[in-house]
Amino acid sequence: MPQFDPTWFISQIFWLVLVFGALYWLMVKRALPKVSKALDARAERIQGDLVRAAKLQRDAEITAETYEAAIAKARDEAREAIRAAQVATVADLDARQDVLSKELAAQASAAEARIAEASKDAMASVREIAVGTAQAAAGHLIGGNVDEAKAASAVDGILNRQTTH
Amino acid sequence: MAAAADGHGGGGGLDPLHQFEIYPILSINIGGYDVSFTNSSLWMVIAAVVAYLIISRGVGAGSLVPTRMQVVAETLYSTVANMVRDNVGDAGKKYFPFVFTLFMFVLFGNLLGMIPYSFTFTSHLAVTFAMAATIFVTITIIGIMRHGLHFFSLFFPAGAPLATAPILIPIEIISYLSRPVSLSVRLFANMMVGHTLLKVLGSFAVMMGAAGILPLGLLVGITALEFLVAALQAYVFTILTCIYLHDAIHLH
Repeated sequence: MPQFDPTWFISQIFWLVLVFGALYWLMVKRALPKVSKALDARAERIQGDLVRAAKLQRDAEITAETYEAAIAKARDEAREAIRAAQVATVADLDARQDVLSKELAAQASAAEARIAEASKDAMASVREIAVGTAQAAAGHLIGGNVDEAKAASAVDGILNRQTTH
Repeated sequence: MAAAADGHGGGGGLDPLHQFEIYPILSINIGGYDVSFTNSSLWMVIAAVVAYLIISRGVGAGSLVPTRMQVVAETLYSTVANMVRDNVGDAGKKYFPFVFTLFMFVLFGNLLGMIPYSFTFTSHLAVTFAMAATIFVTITIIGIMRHGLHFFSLFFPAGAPLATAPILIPIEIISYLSRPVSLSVRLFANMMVGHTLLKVLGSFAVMMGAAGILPLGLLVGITALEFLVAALQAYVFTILTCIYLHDAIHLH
């Protein structure tokens, strides 16, 4: 087996040391820094992007919270305004209704008073006419002068009877 | 070296071990030692260049959205980085460049060996043992530097009854000392056996003529398997290095 021929042992080891040493030096000085730089740059970029994304998300959340708060506040204010408006309207309505009903009541009572006055006047006129008519009719019937007082008492008697019935 | 010089991995050659022959390309002699640039050295250089280019060219400018080759480079990088982090912990970070270079060197040594007429330098015990022994010695020195004499508690599991020490300590020492052997032999044997098998089946396919379709079909399957083995053995070699490093740093 050529593997156990010592002729080339020294040459093999000599070139192994030389070539491996050169490769090691090239890797350390040239190749590996390039790879690690590329990998680090990418890892850094990804990390940076992730951090930025997290920050943006936080910002968005804060904005959303602010928005929600503003909306809730506006809603509360609107509800309050509606309630106040309703209360004011109801109060106004009540007040006006009071005024109106008082006015109406006053007008109604005045009208009632006028009606009562008118009916009293009318009744008085009816009695006078009835007395006159009765006096005149009785004068014609019996021929002679009928005492006004007698006619009045007769009319009153009939009127009283009618009112008691 | 006449046998080696007359052609390497020769197409029709029936000797399945012929592909492991080393032959010099450029004779070099330093201080009486023959350190010729051989086919093995050539493929070491090619593996190193390919490994370096895949990472360096692959990453390119290091754009944010990776190109295809950048994904390859970054995946290799993160695979080994995760392996070191999971097996050694944060203390292993400074050994990452070494572990990564080791992984790339062995991986491309194995994979490029799959090219016909190429040479698999990881199929030579001299190379794998030199790597394993260096790793073993370095890791032992790291352990002793970190823990001083306490490092030797590695040879006696905590909590074991004291009476078992005469048996346990020799066993643990033998097991520790056999690490570089198992590490190097595993890689060397896997690569050698795989390539030998491919060569034997290939020779059958040629010899059997029309019936050679059978070994040829088998050859296709085994080739796919060998690609898996090439990657897997590089991974195993690296992950065992990480585990040994973990032992030296954390003492179990």
